Amino acid sequence: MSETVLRTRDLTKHYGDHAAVHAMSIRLERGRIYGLIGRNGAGKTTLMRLIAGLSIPNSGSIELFGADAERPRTADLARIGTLIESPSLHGGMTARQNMHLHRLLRGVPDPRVEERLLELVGLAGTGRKKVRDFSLGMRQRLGIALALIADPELLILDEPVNGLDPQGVVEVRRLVRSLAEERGMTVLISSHNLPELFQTATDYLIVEGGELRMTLTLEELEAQTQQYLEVAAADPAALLTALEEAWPDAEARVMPGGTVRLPHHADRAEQVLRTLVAADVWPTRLAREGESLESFFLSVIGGERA
Amino acid sequence: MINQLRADLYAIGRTGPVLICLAVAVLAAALYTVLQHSLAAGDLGPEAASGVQVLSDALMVSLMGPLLFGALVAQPFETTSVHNSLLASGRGAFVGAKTVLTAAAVTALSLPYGIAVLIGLATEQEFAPAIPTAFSQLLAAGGGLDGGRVGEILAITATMAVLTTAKLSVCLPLAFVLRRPLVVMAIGFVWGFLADLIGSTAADVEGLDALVRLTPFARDHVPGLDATGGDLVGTLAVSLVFIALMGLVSWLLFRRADVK
Repeated sequence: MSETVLRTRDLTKHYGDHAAVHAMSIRLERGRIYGLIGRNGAGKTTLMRLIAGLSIPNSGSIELFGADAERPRTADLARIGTLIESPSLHGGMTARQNMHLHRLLRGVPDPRVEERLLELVGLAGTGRKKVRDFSLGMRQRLGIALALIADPELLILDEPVNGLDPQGVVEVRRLVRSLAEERGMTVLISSHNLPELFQTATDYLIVEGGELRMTLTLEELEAQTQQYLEVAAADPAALLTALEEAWPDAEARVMPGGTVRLPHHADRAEQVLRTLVAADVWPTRLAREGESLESFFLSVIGGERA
Repeated sequence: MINQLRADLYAIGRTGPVLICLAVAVLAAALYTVLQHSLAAGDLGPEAASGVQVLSDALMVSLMGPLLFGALVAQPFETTSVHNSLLASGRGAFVGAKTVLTAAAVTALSLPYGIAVLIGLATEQEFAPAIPTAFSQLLAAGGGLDGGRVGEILAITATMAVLTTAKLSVCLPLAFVLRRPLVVMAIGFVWGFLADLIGSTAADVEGLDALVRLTPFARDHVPGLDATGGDLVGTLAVSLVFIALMGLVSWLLFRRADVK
């Protein structure tokens, strides 16, 4: 049975009259990567702050590692690593000195963790270079290393690929996946980069207007965003027979109204047309359909911004 | 709390504000002592006294103390390093560590003035106070330096340093609320002068005088040449309790505050 790392119940945070997070109930399981998706101002960062104990909820509760409370206990917070908005860096120090400072802060006894994490994020060779002279991408990578310094069980990353070049994005993706798969770390990660989240996360939380609109697994998201070829003909039975004879593994699905969906043939319209004509089945409709990641996201949150 | 203190001490050793302020305090104390001798010797006219007093502990500590509160308490909110602090040890430990650290750092700013008094007295030269602070009066009083006198000056120095820190410790809750180093510094600097004025005025109001004596703002607490051991202990106790009270106020203000 999967272990629950975090559960929020009706979590609500108001700033004046504005509900940044409203009655949000989520559950995160150990070893999974949760992509937090939402527009600017949707409540992603506020939710992360609430979980990390940086903000105090107006109502609702946070159950962290099995301990239920209005807000997380200090002992449980120590099991979390965060990179929220901007990395916690001292510009006048080197990467190694920043690592050392945060190792002292978190009470981690083994000094070797500093070098190991710097190597992990590709900053082992920065030597005496001050962090103030780092690029945005280097700062982000150091921020991730700092978030990992106490070997957290729950890692919260707010826009971690901001400012990273394509190679850096791939490295962060690999790192996050390996942390979840090899160490059983639970990761909550937000990003505006939907395709990137699609490749990284195992589960998705879609938020809008401070409310949780949908939770779904990668498999469910793939099903929702799959492209397919939709074919219709005057004789649906003949149409289905012709398609199944040509592609026995096509997983053709007959839809209400008699149209047939071919999930693996979105790019093979011409081939399908030739096959049907050869079988003397004349299609009345042949179209590529299905939602892209972006259009699915927009449909969940209620369309494009006015 | 220990982890937070260790991390803060590590950061202090590698970043500017505290070390720079301490260096400035040492230089100012040395220069102030030399110039007080020049005033006494007539190398500087009485009209120069107002310029010389800029280097006094009264002004320098009032200026640099709030700066340290801003740098040590408010700065982590700007750099977001407070995130890791709160995850590591919680809000109570964070406030506790910052209270201890800022109190120690601001107290250290006054110590060079006490050491300068010792060195000045050892030279057996004459000194004229540019402004009648406790340190200037000790220096101007002259007298030989035996073991008892050294101990007396060290005790007055420590008491005066802690008293000044206590007066400025209102910057601690300010820093937790405002979280802007420069704003804390500006308000703290003005407060340094207003506090003595308010304390003096309130002490003259019947009924309020007893209350003011429970705070570091009472004139009676400034250790003079004739201060007894009991006076110094009383002043130290009032100062330390006040600093602890400011720590408590900070915690009450911060325990449920949102952190950006």
